[in-house]
Amino acid sequence: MDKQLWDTAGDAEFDRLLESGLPDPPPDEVARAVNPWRRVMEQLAGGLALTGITFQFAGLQYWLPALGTLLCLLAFRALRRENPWLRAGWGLSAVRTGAVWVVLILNAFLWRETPAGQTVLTTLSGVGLLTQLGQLVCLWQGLDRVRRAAGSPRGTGAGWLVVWYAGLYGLALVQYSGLVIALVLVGLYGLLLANLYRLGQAMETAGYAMHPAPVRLPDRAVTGLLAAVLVLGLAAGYAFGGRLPMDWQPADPSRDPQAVAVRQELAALGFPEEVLADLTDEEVLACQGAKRLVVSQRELPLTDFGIQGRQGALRSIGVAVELPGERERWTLFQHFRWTQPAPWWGTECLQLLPVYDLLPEGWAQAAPVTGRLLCEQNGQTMTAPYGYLGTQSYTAQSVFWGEEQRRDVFAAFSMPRSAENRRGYLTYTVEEVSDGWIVDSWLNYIHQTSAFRYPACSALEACQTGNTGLGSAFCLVQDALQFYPNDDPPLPFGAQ
Amino acid sequence: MKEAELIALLRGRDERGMAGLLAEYGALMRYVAAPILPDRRDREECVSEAAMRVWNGIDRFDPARGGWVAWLTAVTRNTALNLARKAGREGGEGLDENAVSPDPSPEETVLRTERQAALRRAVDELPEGDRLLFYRKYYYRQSTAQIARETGRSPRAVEGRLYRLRLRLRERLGGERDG
Repeated sequence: MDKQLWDTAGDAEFDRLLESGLPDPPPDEVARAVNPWRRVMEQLAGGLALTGITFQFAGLQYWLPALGTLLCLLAFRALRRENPWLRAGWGLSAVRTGAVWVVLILNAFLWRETPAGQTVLTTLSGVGLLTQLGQLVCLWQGLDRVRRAAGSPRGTGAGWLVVWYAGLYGLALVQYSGLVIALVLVGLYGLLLANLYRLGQAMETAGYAMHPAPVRLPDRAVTGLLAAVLVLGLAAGYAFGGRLPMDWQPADPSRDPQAVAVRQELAALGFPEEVLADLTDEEVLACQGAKRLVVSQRELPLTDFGIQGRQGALRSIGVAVELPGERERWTLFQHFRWTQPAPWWGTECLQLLPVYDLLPEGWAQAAPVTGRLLCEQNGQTMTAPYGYLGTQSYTAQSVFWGEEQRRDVFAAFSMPRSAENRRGYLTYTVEEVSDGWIVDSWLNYIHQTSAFRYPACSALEACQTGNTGLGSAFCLVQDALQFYPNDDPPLPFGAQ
Repeated sequence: MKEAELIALLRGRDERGMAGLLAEYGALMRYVAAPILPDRRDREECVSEAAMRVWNGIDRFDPARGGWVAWLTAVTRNTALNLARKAGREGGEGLDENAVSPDPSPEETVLRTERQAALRRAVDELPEGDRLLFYRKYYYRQSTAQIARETGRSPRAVEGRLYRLRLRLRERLGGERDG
C-alpha cells in the first residue's frame, strides 16, 4: 500500500513525502558534511599543502604547486564575497594563477632560454611568490573576521602560515642548503600541516557563518578551462616553440673559375668530394697551395655509448689542410652528414673543443670558427648559417672531473623536418706555437630525440648541463680529428 | 570547549554549558535554521528556543543513536520547522523539537515507520555525494541556489542531479512492487 503511495504521488507530493519521511536524527557523518566551509577548507588545505613543498622529480615540482594554486583559486573564489580581506585574497589568487600558468606555458617554449625569456620568467616567479604571501595574509585576516563574526572564541592559526611561508622564502633567498636545512624544512612542513589541521578545526564551528559566493562557472568548468588553456599552451610550445629560428636559403653554386681550380687541386690531394662540395668558394680559396692533407672518417650511429633503440646515424669526416707559408698552419674542417635520418628533428648542437683550447702550448687560433648547414629540399640545395655560433662559458658537471668551469665553441641549430641529406661543418685555422704537438680537435654532436621534455630545453642547454645520457631526450655522439703533423705522411690516429 | 566537555556541562545544568553551546554551535544552529526561516529575527528566536530545548532535553541525547552534531541539527531543524508552521509559512506536520516522534494515530505510526524505514534504506544505498545532496535538499531544506553555492556547482547542474536522484528514489521506493 505504501509502495503504491510512492508510485502514484505527483512530483509535489513525492517531494513532500521525501521531506517528511526521513527519521531523526540524520547520520552523524551527513550532519558534519553538510556545511558551507568543508569544501572550501579542503581546497585551501590541499592547495597550501601542495604549494608548501616541492618534490624535485618526475615534473612534480611543476604540477603539484600548479594544482595547489588552482585549489587556492577555487577556495578564494567561493569566499570572495565574505569580507574585503577574502575578496583581496581572491584577486591575488587570480593574479597568482595567471603568473603560474604563464610560467608553466612559457616553460614549453625554447624562448625561455633567451635573456628576455629569463627576465620574464624571473619576474613572473617573483609575482607568484609575492601574491602567495599576500594571499596568506588575506586568508589570515579574512578568516579571523569570519571567526569573530561567528562569535567563535578560538583563533584560526592562519597567521602561522604566513610566518612559515615567509621563513621558507627567506631561506630560498639566501640560497641556504644542506642536510640540516632539509631536516628543518621537513619539520617545518609538519608544522604547516598541523596548522592546516588547526585551521580546519577552528573553522568547524565558525565556518557555518560563511556564505560561499554563487558560481556562474562551476569549479569543474573553471578547472577544465584552466586545464584546457594549459594543454593548448603546452601544445603550442611543443609545436611551434621547440625549434630554433633558421634562415634557410637556396645555395649558390660555385662559379668562380679560380675556386673551381683549387677544388680540383684539393681533390687531387685526397680531399673527400662530399665535404669539398659543401665548402664555400672563400673557404676553398683560403686553402690554395695546400701542402699536405689529413682525412679521418667515422660512422656515428645514435646508439653510441650503448644507448640502444635510437634511430639515426651520422658520418663524421675530419679534414686537416696544411697551408703554405713559413709558419706551420692547418685549416681544420669537421663535417657531419646524417646518413640515416632521425625520427624527430628538434634542436641540434655542435660542441667543438678546438685544438688551440686543448693544447694551447702547441697551437694558437689563426682564424675564427665558421661554418654552415646544408640540406636538400625538393631537389634544391639549401643552406643556412647556424642559429647560434660562438664561444660560451659554463659550469660543466662531469662524472670524471666533477664540477668545472669550461669555455667551448658551440653551434646551435634546427634541421628542417622535411629535407634530405642534412649536413654541415665547422672550420677554423690554427698556427704552430711550438713544434712537436699533435693536432687534437674534438666535435660533439648533440641531437634531440624527443620533444617531450619539460621544461623545454635546447640541445645546447642539454650539452652544457650534461643532460645527454640514458633516459634523456638528447643523445651525444663524438668524433675527434687527431694526428701528429711531424709524421710523414701524417695519418689520423687509429688509421690502419 | 570540547564536545564532551560541553555535553557534560549541559547534563550538569551548568550555565557555562549554555554559553558554550551558543558560542561554539550558534553559527551551526543559525546555518541549519536559515533555509527554513529566512527572517533573521525568526532565526534568532529559533536558535534561542532550540538552545532551550537542548538545555531541557539533553538527557534525551543518546550517543548510541547518533552523534552530537546530528542531534543538535535535528533539534534545531525541527524547532525551525515548527516555528515556520506556526507562523503559517510552512505547511506539513508538526515535529517534535527533541527529535522524538509526535503522537500520531496507531495506523499513521505504522505507516510512517514503514515509510521511514524504506526511505532510509533507499537513501543509505545512494552514493555518498547523492546522499549528501538528498539530505541538503529534503532534510535541511536548502535551496538549489544554496546547494550550488556550497558545492561549487551551477544551480542548473544541481537541479539536474536532483531530478535524477528523484527518479532513482521513485524507482527504488515504488518499483519494489514490480521487481
